[in-house]
Amino acid sequence: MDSNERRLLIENYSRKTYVLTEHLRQFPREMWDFKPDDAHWCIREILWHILDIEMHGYLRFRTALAEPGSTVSAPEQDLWAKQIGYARLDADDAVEGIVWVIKTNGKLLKTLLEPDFNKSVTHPEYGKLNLDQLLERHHKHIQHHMDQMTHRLNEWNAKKN
Amino acid sequence: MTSEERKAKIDELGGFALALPQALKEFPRSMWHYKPDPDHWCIQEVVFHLLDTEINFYIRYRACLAEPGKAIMPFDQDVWARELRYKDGDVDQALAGLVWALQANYGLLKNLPEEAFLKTVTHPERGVLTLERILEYSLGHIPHHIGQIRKRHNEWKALQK
Repeated sequence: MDSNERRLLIENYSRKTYVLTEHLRQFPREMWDFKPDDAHWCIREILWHILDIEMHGYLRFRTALAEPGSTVSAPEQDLWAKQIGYARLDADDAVEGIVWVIKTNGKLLKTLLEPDFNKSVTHPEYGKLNLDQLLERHHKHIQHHMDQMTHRLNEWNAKKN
Repeated sequence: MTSEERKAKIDELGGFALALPQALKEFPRSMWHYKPDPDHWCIQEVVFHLLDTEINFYIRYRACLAEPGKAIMPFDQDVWARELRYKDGDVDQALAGLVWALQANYGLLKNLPEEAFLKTVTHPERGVLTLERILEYSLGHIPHHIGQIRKRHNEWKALQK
């Protein structure tokens, strides 16, 4: 990744706070708990999942910088959703946390020097990931779940009609 | 620990979300960067350390619940303070995140059934830790650093005479 691509990626990642909150406006609150079946997440669960992955990201980015080469943790996402009870938690708290953590991560990333992005951690599933790769994964992850929310809305609309 | 004792401890954790920003108002911003020597943290560094520790607790509490028995990742506090340049960060953003994380952890713990507090994670240095033990550790950690902040303030005041 060259420095321009990286700058753009950091900018796009940081803008996710705005993009996500704008995206959420299209979902009526009455469907935030809708799920087509037990195996799929509702909007509320997706938001808590994004938050918990970004909280892991907070620690991963900083571990890469401070203790490069360390192993980082990865949550078993379905167990977290079920055992922590994402479906019962306040979605607004999750949004508030997401905005804070992405803003804070973005601010940190903007202060880094080029060689910092080669620092890496070991992910238990994906192996060695440098800071560029971590950032790409976190950025894509948020977009993936925003698309999943849209899919949920389409299912809910189809069910209503 | 009886359930009343546990409830009091959880309330104490939630109380820090209000008490900590209030306590910090005692100390003039002009001395938040003061350190007696490079080996001791200034107030700003202590705030960042409290934030990063609370986010680690955020993950640890939830790992206990969702994936009991899981190995958790420790972090080297002095390396983090130095490599992440705590002294140069946005301390207001850090404080906002610390309050958010304390409230999120309080919100999670206050609604847990009694048996959840016996769930564990494994710390590489401290061994098996129950959720209850992590809570106790957190409750000792915050006042310890408030004491450190007071000490730094007293050292700074002594220099002003």
